[in-house]
Amino acid sequence: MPFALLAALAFAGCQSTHVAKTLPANLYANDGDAQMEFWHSLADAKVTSNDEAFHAILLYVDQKDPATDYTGRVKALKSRQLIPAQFDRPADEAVTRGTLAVAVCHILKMRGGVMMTVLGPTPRYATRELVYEGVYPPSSEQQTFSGTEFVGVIGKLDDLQNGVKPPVTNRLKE
Amino acid sequence: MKLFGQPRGLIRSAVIACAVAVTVAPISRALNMGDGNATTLPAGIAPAATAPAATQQVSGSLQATVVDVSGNVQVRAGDDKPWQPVKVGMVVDEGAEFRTGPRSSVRCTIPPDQSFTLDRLGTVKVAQALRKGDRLKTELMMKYGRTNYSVEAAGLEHESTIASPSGTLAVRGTVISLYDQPPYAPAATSFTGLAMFRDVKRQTSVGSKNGGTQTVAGNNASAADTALENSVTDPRFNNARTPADQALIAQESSRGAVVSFDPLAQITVVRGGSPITNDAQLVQTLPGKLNFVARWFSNSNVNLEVFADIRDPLTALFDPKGFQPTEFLYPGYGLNNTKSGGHIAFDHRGGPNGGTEIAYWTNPPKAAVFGLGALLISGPSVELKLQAYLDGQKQSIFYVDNKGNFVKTKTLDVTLTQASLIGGPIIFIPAVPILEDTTPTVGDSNANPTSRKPKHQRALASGNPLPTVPPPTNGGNPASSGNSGSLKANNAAAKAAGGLATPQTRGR
Repeated sequence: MPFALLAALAFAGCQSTHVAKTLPANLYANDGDAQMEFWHSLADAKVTSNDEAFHAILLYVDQKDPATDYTGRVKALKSRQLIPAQFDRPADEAVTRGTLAVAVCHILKMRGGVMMTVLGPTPRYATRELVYEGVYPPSSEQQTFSGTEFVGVIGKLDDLQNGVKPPVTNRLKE
Repeated sequence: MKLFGQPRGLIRSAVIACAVAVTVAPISRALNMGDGNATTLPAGIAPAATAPAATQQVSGSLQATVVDVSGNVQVRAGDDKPWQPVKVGMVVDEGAEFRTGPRSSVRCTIPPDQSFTLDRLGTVKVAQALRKGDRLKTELMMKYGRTNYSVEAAGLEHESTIASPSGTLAVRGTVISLYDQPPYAPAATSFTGLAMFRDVKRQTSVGSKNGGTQTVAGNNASAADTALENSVTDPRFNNARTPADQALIAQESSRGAVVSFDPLAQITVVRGGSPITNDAQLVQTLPGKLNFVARWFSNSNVNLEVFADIRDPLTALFDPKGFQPTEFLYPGYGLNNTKSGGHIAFDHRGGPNGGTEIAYWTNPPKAAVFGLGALLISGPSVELKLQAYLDGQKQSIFYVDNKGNFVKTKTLDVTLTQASLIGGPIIFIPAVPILEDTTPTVGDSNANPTSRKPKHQRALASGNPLPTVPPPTNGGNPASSGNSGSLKANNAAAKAAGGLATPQTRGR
């Protein structure tokens, strides 16, 4: 009996994190106000869910999310190879760093090393590549992101794609 | 202290104190908020003023004017007010809060001479903007993101703060940037002027008066450490290596070796592959003008050591103190480069077929005495072959054999055990004629590795025949070309050499 209890506890500890309270549905609209509210509400979230992360990726890449539900987002991202083809996790599960890493590597067009070139941007090697490039902090592909961390990664993505703007000031022109 | 209504968390507010004397006559706008100008915006936010006020205000609140907007930016007058899109020319009061979306930014000025820019995906609140006589006090609160802040000109005294969740930046200069965004370490940048960055661990300066851009990251001790961290190039990448290293490592890879990098030892690591067995072929691959080559042919990890006494060999020869090395080359831990240009490109950690390590100089010292050593890091005892090449020609390696004779050879074959080898073989650059002529030769006597002479041929000096050690039998080692005996400790110094260091084995 004690062993069964220990086994049950072990299995419970292995369960992936689920987000108890995701962002409200009205934040998934495509108008500017809803998008702003989505980003900054996400920054306050403790954990980022798959649904929130995929909506954010579509907003970042296309400035809009045409999908009306999670299934549509998954389909849209798979069609663009921004998430692995075999991805089948639920919407309210915490997004893994590996899943996001695949999308980020595609967006940044990272070729990676030998393994990533041979096997493609799998979550494991995409994560390693992003850690090496400084886009991710030291991470494993099973970890997740808090809301503010996720927004930080998107911000870093923005910096890499569009550069970091220096301050505009006459002092620097002297 | 709660920041922007954050429900929980160990957020400490960071303060950037700016003390800059400014002596500009103040001009501030006195805009009426909610004065019936048919504005539909909430109180605290006004459209662009069309009639600038010329009133000189000695003290009172200051306002921020939006001068540049890019992308999706919103502002609200207070925590309980709705968000509004930001437009250029908009004027906001104290308490106004900005937020930006992806690929967006907003730049505001606070008269008379301050400006701040909120970059993408961030929030900043103008918590305070006051003027008290000749003193201006501005407080910005940044929840996350990146904010640049600058004071344009000297004049009035400024007391300006930017609060963020971590660190403290005291600004003595005028243009700074603060980046604080999880999961990354916060970073403070001074574009011009001196700033003091303080967090829970330490306080460090960043920038200098009239200096250039410097950045200190929260996980580094100083701006210098941040710069050093950012300037390291990973030698795994071919383009980060010197041409000599590129060719050398490419050769290893072409023979099946795997290249990686040891961040602890800070050196490229090579495993596997096969050492070149033919000396003529080896010469073609040597990267430097002066090369010390260690090769072994079984699965062990050997580290080559080179000691250098940079002075004329004759001076060293007759120095009562003997060999006094001033430089040391070792594969890793910052010891793989020397002041005189010595370099070890990689640490070969062995493989089924053995390995190769080369210490080389592209521009060697004109005169020096070199000592060779080797450490058996792991694996069983191994037959080690040591050679020295100058301009493609083998150089004589002098040592004391197990019978106490001071001899020389062009290829030193040693059985390397856990006792290792240190302080034994000596090489003189340039060669010392009297030693070359009088020291008996054992084993390999062929200086030119491209010629095909029998291995057992003895080199005879002109004139009187010299005593030589009989050639050893080949112990099955295809690379063996000379005496394969191990050197014993504490043999008497060679009398002909007059007091050079005696080869000694080293216990571990």
